[in-house]
Amino acid sequence: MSIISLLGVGAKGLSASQAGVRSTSQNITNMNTAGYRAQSADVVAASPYSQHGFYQANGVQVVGYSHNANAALDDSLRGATSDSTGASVRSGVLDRAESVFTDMKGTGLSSSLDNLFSAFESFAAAPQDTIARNGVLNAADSFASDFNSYASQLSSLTAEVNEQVDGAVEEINSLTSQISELNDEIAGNGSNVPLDLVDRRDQLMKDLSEKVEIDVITHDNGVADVSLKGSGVPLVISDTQYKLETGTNADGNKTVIGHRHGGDADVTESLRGGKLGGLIAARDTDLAEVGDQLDEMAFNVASAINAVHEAGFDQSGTAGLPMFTTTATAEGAAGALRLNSALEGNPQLLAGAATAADAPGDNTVANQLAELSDTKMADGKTPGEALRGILTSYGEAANRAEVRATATASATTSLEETWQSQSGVSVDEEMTNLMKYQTSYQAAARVVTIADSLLEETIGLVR
Amino acid sequence: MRITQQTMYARAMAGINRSRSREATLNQQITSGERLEKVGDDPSATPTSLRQQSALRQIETHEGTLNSANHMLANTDSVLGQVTNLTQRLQEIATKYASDTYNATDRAKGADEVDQIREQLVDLANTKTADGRYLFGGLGNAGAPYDDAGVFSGDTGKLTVSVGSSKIDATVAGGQPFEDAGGGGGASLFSTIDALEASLRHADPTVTEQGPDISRHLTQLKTHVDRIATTREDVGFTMNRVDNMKDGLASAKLSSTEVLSDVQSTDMLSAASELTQVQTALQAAMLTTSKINSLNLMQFM
Repeated sequence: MSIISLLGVGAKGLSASQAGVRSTSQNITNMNTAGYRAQSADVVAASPYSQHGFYQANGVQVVGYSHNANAALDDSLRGATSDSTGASVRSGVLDRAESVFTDMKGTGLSSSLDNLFSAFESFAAAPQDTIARNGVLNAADSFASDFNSYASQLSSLTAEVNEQVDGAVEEINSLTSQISELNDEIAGNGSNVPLDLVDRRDQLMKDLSEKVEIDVITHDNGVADVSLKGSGVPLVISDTQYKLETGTNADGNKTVIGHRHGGDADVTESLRGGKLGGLIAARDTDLAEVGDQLDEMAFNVASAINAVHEAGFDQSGTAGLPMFTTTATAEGAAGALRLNSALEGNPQLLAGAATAADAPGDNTVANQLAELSDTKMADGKTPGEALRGILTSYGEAANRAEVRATATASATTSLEETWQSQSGVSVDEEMTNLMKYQTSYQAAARVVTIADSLLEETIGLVR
Repeated sequence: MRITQQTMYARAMAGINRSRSREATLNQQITSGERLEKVGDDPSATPTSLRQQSALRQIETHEGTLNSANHMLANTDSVLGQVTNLTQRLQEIATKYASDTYNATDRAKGADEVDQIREQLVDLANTKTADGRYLFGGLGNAGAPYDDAGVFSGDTGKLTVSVGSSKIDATVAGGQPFEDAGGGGGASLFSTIDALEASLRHADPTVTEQGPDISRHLTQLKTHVDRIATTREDVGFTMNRVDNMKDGLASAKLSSTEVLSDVQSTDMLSAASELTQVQTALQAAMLTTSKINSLNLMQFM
């Protein structure tokens, strides 16, 4: 073994330490980069060479850089992220709709329903009193307009959700486009996978999981294929992006359409999690349900009141008109409910009498109207029970969504911490490494100095 | 576990956010005094709160209905009081002029008074409430039940109002105090008065003994006075019942208010003490967050 080769061993030590300092610096500068995994230089003892019948030590060799990537953990984290974003978006929509129902503060439909029956009762106590009759018309009008207001606020919220569905689909397309480009760059490097690009691509996939729940298959060359969970519709295959599009269904709501081999597919109902899944769950489950229930109640109450009122006779002994007009079936009844325009401004047309003969003074039908308050309607509930049922079940749904958002958020946080613990940058660790590499660099430099002086000594021998 | 700086900062932020959001909720509950603002705030309390709020509104309506019924009943009672006085005056007149010490001129004076009383009674029988109802007009109530001659054109129905599941007769049956419903010879108060007046004026020349002819009306007048008294008694009973129902409503109102306050109002004591706890936790979280930076290896290099 020559002294010259000793210099070589020292130099290899210097460059190995440099590689260590380089990876440490990279880690420190990226400690706040989302999705960045701490890297380290992989060094091995360099292959010895054979001389004089035995192996000669040949220093150290940098074979590459590596980071700690855990595909299973990434999968869980993406799933949890989809869950918690979906739950929080859904809870947000429900929370907005919850402020439509002002009933807990003693206003809103609960109060106008009671006021309507209160007006009926006052009408029954003074069937010939124009003030009491006008009271019924006013109460019926506000009852109808409160239903209208609930229905219109819910439908404008639905319209807003539809706009957000459009937005979420655009965000998904932008992310999948970036992922396909990064896949292309990663694949171009053969077996030498560029860690920083992989981190960036993985972070984009995590961002994507905030929009919708996805399945990811990673190949040996580092390329990742992404598809929608549930429907299996592809979003990215290698360097090809498959865009999602939106359509409109019969209800005027936005649908999501994916492309796959063999044609387009409406994937709206199979979407789970993420912003998109949360929006669609809130729209198609929660808002649709409470809207249907309000429609049914409006229809039932209007039918029950109309039936009683039409059997009565007004102040001049003419048979009563329907008190409310609305749709022919329950669908859309809450939004279409109106006080019959023929009654507007005509309190004398209110039918309180049971027979034409007893016309102006009889309050039998007025009493029957007031008693509807405690009468079971077509759905087997009194109007008050029906309304309280709707509000309570909505309140439960809103509360459940909120609890779920909190629970899934903490599950995600704990997975984030695990991810950070396995792959994140620890300042203490980097500082320790920095000292370690500084020491090894200094020691390697000393090796070079010693080799140099040995060489000088040797040259001195010749003199 | 390997703890990175990112984890520590994320935990610190999460802790502060959690305390801040609880602090905001508690502040809101304390300043508004209401524990429940939205239907989802406490779903288990939502139906109770909605039901009690609705019950309170219904009680208010029932109270209004009872007051209106009570008003009509009191009105009836006072009218019947006047009717009784006037009818008793008729008895006095009949008794007085039946005596033979009075001549035809005196009796004609009595007849004039009877005529005036009849007019007053017709007016009373046509008493109309502020909301346009004739108290004695019956159910149909299309117009004044008595014409000037005292002939009844109403029906015998009465106005019944529903208060929850109970029914209250807010008026007496149409014409009841004035019309004889069988018995007593079938004569109405007004036909008795007309007959009395005729007797006082000696309208029927075939009558020879005028005194007994006048006093014979006393029997019928007594029937009328008795019937009016019975009707007044019934009205009194109904008013009593209305009072009892009002008492019942008042106590129902009290208990509904209590239940509502139990589920809906903020428990100030526990809210205030929890707020103190949350604020202490917040202070501690802020203190530790500010110290995350002060202890790492860099400080020693």
